[in-house]
Amino acid sequence: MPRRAAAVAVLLASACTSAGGSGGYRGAVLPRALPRPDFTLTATDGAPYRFAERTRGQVTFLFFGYTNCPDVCPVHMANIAASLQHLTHEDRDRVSVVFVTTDPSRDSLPRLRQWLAGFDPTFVGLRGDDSTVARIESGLLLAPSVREPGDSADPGAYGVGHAAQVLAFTPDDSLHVVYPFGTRQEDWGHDLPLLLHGDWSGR
Amino acid sequence: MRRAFLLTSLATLAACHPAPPAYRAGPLTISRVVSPEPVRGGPGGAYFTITNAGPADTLIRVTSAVSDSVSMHRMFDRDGTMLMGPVAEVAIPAGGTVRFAPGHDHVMLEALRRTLVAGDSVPLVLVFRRAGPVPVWARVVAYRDLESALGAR
Repeated sequence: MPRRAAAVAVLLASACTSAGGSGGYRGAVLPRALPRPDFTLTATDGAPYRFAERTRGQVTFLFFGYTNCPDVCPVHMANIAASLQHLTHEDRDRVSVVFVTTDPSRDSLPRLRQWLAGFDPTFVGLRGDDSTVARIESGLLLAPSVREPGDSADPGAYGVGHAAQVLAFTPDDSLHVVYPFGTRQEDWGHDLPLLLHGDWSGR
Repeated sequence: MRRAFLLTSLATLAACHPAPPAYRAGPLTISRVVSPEPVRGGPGGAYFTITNAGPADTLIRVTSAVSDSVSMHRMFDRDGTMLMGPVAEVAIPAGGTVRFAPGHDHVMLEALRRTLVAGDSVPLVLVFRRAGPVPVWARVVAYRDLESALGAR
């Protein structure tokens, strides 16, 4: 597992060096695309959600985080939500945002629903057990999430270490571009039309 | 004391409008004091910039009348994983500037005593080893307005 994490870091580090220079994207273009994964988790309405089937052909922003997250998660979600408001209705319908909780013991389905609705009621919240989510993360070459002990005696107070980047799947059902923390609304606004209408054939 | 502080804040607001107020305590200037509006069910927080024109100081504690649980955290990146750890104190180097910003250091406000809504002001007290306690007001902004409130990267 540590070897895998190191491989991820190397992959992302090399991806970052090409940021801004590849296809005009502000996000980091991966040297080698990954296919849209086929996994099933529970959606906030309690029904199973088959990711590959439900998001096929869409631009999909996939993020792993938790609702007690102080800034990385809400900043990413708020910036994406703000940028989506500038799209035409037609383009907006072709973008989905999927948030997978890395803290299933505290993030109940209602809590997840309530938190995501604070950004955009269409954002999809998914929940599964730790091992299932870890398997999905490693399939996407992300380091698995880890629980960090908090600074108080309260066992319910802890943080969750998680990958800070948003994965952007494109209509060709592949992952080509990832967005690190620090991506601004202006960057999202710049890349959204490229993600929606870009041509990945020949790659 | 509280009224004097409020008047000073109002005077600063009026004098500097539309720029947000900055607070001075000896050689320290505290500016861009911002608190993101908690997302439903999420924690509160605070960010600020401390500029030090004098000798080294240390931020040893932050308190707030709106929260029973105020802590300082630092985010760090380990092999692509964003981790967060508690920070007991933050060094403010002589002549230096320290920015609390998303993805770096932040103040976390938990067990909030009241709902914080964009447009509100949150009272905070930054306690420094040399400069002592410095009361400031944080402006509550929506997460989507955080990047503009905090300025350039």
